[in-house]
Amino acid sequence: MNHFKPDITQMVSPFLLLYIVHATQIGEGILSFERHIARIAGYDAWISIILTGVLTTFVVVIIWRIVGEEQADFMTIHQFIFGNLFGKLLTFIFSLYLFAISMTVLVSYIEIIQIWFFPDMSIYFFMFILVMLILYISLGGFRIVVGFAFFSVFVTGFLAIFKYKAFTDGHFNNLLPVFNTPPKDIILAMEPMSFSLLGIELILIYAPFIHRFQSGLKWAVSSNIFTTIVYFFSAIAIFMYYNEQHIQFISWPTLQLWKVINFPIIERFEYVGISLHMIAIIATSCLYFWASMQCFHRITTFTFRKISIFCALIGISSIFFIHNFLIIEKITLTLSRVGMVLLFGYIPLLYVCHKIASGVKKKHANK
Amino acid sequence: MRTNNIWLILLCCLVLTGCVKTKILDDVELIMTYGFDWDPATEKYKGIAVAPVYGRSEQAELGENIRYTGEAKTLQEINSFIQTEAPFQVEVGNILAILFSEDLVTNGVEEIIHAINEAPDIGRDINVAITQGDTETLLKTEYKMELTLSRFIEKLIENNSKSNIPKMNLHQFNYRLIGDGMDPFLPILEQSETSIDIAALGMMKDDKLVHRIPYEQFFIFKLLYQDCEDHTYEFEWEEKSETIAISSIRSTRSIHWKSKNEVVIKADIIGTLTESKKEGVKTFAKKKELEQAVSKKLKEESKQLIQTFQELEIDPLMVGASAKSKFRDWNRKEWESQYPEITITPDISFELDLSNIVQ
Repeated sequence: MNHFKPDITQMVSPFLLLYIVHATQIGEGILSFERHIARIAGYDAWISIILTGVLTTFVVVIIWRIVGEEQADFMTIHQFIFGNLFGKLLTFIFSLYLFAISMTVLVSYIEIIQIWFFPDMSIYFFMFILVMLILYISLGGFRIVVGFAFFSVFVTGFLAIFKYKAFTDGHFNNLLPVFNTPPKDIILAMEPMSFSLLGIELILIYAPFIHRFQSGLKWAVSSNIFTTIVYFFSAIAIFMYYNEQHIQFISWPTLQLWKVINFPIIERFEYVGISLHMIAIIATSCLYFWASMQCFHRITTFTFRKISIFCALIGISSIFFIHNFLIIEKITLTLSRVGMVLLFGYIPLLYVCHKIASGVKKKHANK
Repeated sequence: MRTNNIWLILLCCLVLTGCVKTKILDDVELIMTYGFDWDPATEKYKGIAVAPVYGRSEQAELGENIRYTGEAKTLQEINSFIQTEAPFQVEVGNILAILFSEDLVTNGVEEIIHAINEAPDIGRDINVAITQGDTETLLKTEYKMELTLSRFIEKLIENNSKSNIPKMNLHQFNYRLIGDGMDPFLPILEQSETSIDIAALGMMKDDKLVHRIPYEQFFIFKLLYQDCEDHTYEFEWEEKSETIAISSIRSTRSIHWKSKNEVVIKADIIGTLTESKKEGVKTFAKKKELEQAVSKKLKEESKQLIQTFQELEIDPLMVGASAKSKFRDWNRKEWESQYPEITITPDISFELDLSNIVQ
């Protein structure tokens, strides 16, 4: 195997996985996931959150097994298992998916900005600014990207406090009786939920960049658990605040919850909330963008810089095609399906293939 | 040289981002109260917007208001109609109260409420109320008050929500309007000679006004509806022909289900005897007698109120929602047919803890 080994100046310490994983997982989804899961599983959907959290934790462990002691990344593994050409093709598809998520997150955030703040704003221009920012951060290298992710965790943590209003004004009755939804629906609700917990697949890309990668498992797992707790807490708050019929009328339950909060200097908190959320959006998008560019860079002979600028241009132009809310909803839905298959289907499959392939190659090496 | 050019482009970007509509507080028409009437002839909503006029001089004693009216079928169209009368950009971001006329609420308010919900710049912590008669006449009358009209209505409803009526903002109204097993209610504002007061609570079935309860029943309703704090209750002790006032009332309310058709709404009240007209309560026996008399009276009054609700098939006490959380096989249709028949028993216990400052 031909290993990719980044320079030590590009590496980050393993405890930062706590922030990286959390920042990738929490993005635009936290504003609206309650509606999606409640549509399928009603107000027992919080069980789906826990189940998804447990399953994703297993996936994290599997990822650690795949990467192994050699700290091989996704591209190396693909080429090792499927050979040069087919491996590259798979990586290419995977990086397209990462790139799509990176841009969808931005576009759906711009949608919120457009609805709430500036209805007459030029979305093309705003997209241009955001993509430029992301390009700038990504070109700074992995450490800069992680720095931003580190920062964003504090912002989302701060924003999570403002769900307190739901606990003071809400009705706990909404959550009762527990287990009144058929188990099938609870399982089905894991699909939209897994979109919210997506982000752990990126570990496969940035694995070589983590110093002493094997010792990072505990950080990644605790980060995943932490994210699950944040989602769980958020869902309970929203479920208490809205009843089952009401929530289906609301596009972004969290933002509407913030509408009720006011301080002497701020009439409506959602304006602060949306603005601060931009940092979380940029961190998520940036990590995905960086990972996608890393994939493209590793399978081609172009430099990281060249491919990034090229893809940024494609990203900006994507807004000309995805500019209406129905398309955004559709793309998000499709990506959530793909993500679900990737997490719970492809990665375990990859693990099995990896086991078989390394077993076979070892046998041949011994002969 | 090349890097310089890039910086120049980026600088241009920063300058160009200012190309959206600016909203400077002094240059917008900040609408603070919105009233809606229904015009049956044209089948249109008539919107009356009240904006404060912040004085050009600092010494302005009275709050002045400016009113705009617009008529259209949708909220946004009313807004743009109002714009034709206003010198500045009309902004609805700081609305404090939304009023509906009685006619409109009798016809159903769901359509306009959904229109309000769809506007992203309207908050949710807004007071909603019904006006007796037309909203237009109520809002267009000039009152002599220190506050602006919008602030007056806001403070009126807000302060009464603490003591007399349960709080009902736009979010809570929506919650009850859309949810299963509950019905909303709204305070009814009435125009008095010189001012505005809260006349009654309007109980709604779905989105239509069907019943109103007068001031005398506010306390009973609030007792059955939620935990309350700091209330005053005037008790007429008929057997002794005395009138006693109890204040600083604190109560806790809970719902207990005996079976699927039997429910007890329990309210425990603790209060202070403040006005007893020299009579006083000096012995334990008297105290107990008084407590029991009050409990009995309250129980009777509650029973009556609940019966009215059941006859009208409205559920402002959210008994249905409680049943939903209690019974697994709850469904809306079945509940709605059962609701008038189930027995709802109020169980009210009263306890006197302190007396007044006169022996």
